[in-house]
Amino acid sequence: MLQLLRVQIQVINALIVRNIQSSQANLAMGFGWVFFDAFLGFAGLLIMKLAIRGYGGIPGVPTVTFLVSGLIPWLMFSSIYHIPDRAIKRGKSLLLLPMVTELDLILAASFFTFMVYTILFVVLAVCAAIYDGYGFPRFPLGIVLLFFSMGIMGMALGLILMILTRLYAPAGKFVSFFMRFSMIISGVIFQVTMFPATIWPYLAWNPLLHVEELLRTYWFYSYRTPIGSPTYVIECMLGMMFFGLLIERYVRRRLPPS
Amino acid sequence: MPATHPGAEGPLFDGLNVEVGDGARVGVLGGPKSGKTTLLRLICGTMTAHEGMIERNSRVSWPIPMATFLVPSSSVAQNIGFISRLYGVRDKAFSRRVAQMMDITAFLECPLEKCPRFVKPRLALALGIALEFDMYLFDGTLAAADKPFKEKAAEIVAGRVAGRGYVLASAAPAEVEKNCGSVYVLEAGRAAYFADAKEGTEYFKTLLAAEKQKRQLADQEAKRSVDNDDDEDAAPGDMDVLAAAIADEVE
Repeated sequence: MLQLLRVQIQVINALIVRNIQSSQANLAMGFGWVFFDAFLGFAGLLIMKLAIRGYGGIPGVPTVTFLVSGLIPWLMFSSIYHIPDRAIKRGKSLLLLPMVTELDLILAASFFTFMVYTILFVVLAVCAAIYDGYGFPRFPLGIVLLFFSMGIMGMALGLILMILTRLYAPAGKFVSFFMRFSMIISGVIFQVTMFPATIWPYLAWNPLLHVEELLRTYWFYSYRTPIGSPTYVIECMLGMMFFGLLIERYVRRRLPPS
Repeated sequence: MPATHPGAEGPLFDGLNVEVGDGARVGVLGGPKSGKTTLLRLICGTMTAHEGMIERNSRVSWPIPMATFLVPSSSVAQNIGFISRLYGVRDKAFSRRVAQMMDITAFLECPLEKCPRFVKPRLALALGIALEFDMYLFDGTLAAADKPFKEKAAEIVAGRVAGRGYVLASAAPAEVEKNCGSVYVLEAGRAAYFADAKEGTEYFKTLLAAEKQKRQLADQEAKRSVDNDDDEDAAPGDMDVLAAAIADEVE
């Protein structure tokens, strides 16, 4: 068992280094694009948020830091959930090597994206703190764990979607539809207290909202989430990951990539 | 063991039974699209059969000289580095050793896409045989390299596979007869086994000759039907007869 795990880590390491090398060779399509995309999204939302400043903002919570704390984890999630399908399509030639499995390709690509967004998160958080003159977050370890859980949930959803899309092609469309509204209903731009309390029980089904709410609670001294539950986040993360890995194992090399 | 060729409708193999012992030098002969490469993929584990069982008790290579995993924008050394990391090779001199083996040391730091054309096939061959496997799988030929280097490549491969087993899947009976002890001939989804390579290659040649004769007959048949159509076109139709009669009247 340990030997197998060591081999898998060795394979994932080789794939990550290969990813980095090919991204370096083509900077515009590699790291460069990820940073540019995130900066662009951040700038757009910042303008929007500043334009409606004063409408339901949290007292003592600076706008730029508020956005950084929620937007970058959400961008990472929406990048990672696309990865499983893309990683397999892009790495088809690598699957002809007996050492490489579909899961290795997914794990390597997800980890690579996670690393890029972690760097982006740290850089932007420092910049935002300097700009807003805001001090150290209230509970940094909690933020790190939530950021990590966002990545795992993204990968798990991607795994589930990849298999569902192979079985039934339009399955992905439903999630794309959800993701369009996800930024608003997941608390990326507005905290849950800006929504009517009557719809909180329905919104609370969304684990992304819990992560965003907890991120703000662990970051800012003046905000306490009314609905965020760490237990629910852990349950969803483990449940989705277990289900994703289970169906991946079941259909491995049985269904052709969509 | 039934297996389906990617994109094909029916099964490629049905009732296939192949066994390759330790240190055996086995040839697989088959015509185009007979499933030679698919069989190698099944053996190394990158494809699974829909039914049946594939048992592996030793370390098996990928079909050599596969080059699809090489990144054109990365250097030769980076490409070698990928394989060495993948297989957990700790030897720091591995890259240089692989390059020396195929006389491509001068291109180690050069991006693969900017290297001369002979570098890629030599690199693909070198990577396949540089690693320690109990069984090597060769797809097409044993020493796939450019013409000036072919002889040396054959020597290197022979040295490397000494004492180990290999499977050579090819459509060239001469190479299989020269390098293999036993032969499987793929025919209509099944594999006929010949313990004597010469016997197997002779059988394969007979199959090829029969196939060629069948094709020639089909071509002749097709040609004859085209000729008949032409003759029918050349026969005078009603309009032609009418036109000739009018011409006679005018005269």
